[in-house]
Amino acid sequence: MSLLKFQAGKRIAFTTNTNTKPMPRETPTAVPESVPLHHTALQVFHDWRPSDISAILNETRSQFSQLLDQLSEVNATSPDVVDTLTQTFREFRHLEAQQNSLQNNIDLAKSKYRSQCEELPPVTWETWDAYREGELRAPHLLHVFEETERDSESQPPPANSADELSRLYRALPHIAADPQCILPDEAADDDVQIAGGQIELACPITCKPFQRPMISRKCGHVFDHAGIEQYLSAQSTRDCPQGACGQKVSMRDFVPDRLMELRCKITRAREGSRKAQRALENVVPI
Amino acid sequence: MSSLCLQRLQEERKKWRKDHPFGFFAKPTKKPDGSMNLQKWEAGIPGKEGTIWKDGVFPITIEYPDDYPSKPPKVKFPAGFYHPNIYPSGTVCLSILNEDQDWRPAITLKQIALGVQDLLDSPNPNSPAQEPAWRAFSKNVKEYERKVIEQAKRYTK
Repeated sequence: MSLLKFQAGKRIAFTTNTNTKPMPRETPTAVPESVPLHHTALQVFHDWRPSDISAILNETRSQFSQLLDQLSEVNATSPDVVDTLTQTFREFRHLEAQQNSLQNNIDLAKSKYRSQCEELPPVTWETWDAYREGELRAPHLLHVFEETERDSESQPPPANSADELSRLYRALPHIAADPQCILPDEAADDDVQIAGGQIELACPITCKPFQRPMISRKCGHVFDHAGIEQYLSAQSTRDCPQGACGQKVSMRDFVPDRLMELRCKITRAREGSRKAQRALENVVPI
Repeated sequence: MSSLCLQRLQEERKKWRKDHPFGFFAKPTKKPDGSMNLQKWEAGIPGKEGTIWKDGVFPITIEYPDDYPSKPPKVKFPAGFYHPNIYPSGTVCLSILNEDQDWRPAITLKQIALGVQDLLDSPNPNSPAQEPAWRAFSKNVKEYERKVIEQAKRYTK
């Protein structure tokens, strides 16, 4: 509840301690907890929103995305950097999931609260005594919220890990160790391009290492931008250039393949450091 | 020739030199001025062991069009080559070499060479390309085999 920031200007009596006894009846200003909110107060209450931090989350997300692009060729192969980055991203994802579930729970609790209030008879002179005595009882907002929270905890967390950035960060430790490795969750997919259990880092059309890898959203085959562009220049829709693939593809089916970009970057980094290593070995002491 | 075509052919040459199936050869031809012509290659396809083709290494030419690898190369045996799916001109009738059928830019020289080798002993009776070999293959197997063995001896290793 700490993230709740009430924006309504009006103050409303709101008991946060669920254990408090009903206010003594003698105090004329106190309204018993069992009395439902006045309909205007209810309106104000429903207009409350937890402060929106989605903008911050999106900003952080795009920074994580830029971090991947900015990984220098030295950092990309440093286990420390990769570990820290993966760990930090995992924490961020956890926070993001918490924020989403808080938002959902608040919305759910509100709508539950509203529907429970609507079932109650209106507060009139006839019903007032029943409300005051607690025979009729308005739902308690905190109880509703806690109940909603308990329900959502008993459910398995949504598998919201299909987004591209999470996929990249999940892949990072694997491909930092071996840029051509087949990722654990892709192993079951027969359709990935495999040569002796390894991912090819060269375009099947140009036969050169990828410069600008593009992946087909239809079939998952990856080609270099130059190659696929030339292939589709004569006819805008053609068979996928990969042999034995039955899909018809056109340029709009292709999006940049950031995973392949990362694989290639790490490969270049490794080759660079091997070259430097060899150069060092060749240094002859004078 | 587009830069992509040239680039790809250079990579094909590198790949072939690094690794090619046993008994095969393939190399770009020379232009009259002595420079290398990457768009026209000469290659040798050995007949498979244990078949009537085994004694020969059959010469082919591979011509790459300007828009290769969007379009397939043209593969030719010498004119008059005896095989049901080879035209009198020597042009090979093979689905992976047909743009409207199974050609894909990802198909490499190695796959083409192996595909042509396969075709030698596994003719497709449903797409005849020449009269004599096709007729003999469907009507008179003895004569067909005798002619194939005779031809293989003309192209011995």
